[in-house]
Amino acid sequence: MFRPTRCLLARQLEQLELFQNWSLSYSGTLLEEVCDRYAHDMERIPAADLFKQAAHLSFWIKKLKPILAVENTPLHINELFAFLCGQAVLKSHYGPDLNLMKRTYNETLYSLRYRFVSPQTLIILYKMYYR
Amino acid sequence: MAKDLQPLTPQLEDAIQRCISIPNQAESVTEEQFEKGFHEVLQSQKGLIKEYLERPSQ
Repeated sequence: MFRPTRCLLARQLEQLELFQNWSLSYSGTLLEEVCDRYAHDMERIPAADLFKQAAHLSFWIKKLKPILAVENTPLHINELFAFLCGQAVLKSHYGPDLNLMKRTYNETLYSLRYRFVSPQTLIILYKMYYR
Repeated sequence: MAKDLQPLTPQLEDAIQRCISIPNQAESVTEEQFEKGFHEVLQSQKGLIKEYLERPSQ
């Protein structure tokens, strides 16, 4: 079972900062809570496959929004981070690169931001994208 | 079926069937695999991310 930690997620945020020279502020407490809620979910799902792990991690990031909205922070950065983390869980086993059309990519991020998206919905989405 | 419910698209129906039929299977990734995956995903989707964030608001 993949067990993300606050430090691991914080390191990915640093990668994301470097990617576009963003200056991102995040709450360590909320990152910790993401990891706690994810771990709590995983305790309830025996032998969860990577799709479930990716979906629950994405869900808690998008729900708890650990990246703080300060000046010049891209509006949908938490949803983007959630989607990237979900894909990172799946990449090593279900790569090669996800080849999504621009429209699908945009609609996924839009839905993560503005629609109610449950972990179960994300499981289905990730399975559609990767299989 | 209630009037406001739409039928599932074949693609979605297929995905749901696959979700139901695939048993849970314990899998894991290491921290290193996750970090490598994150880096590779970020690099491969650079263009899509940039376009999404710079698009006019919807």
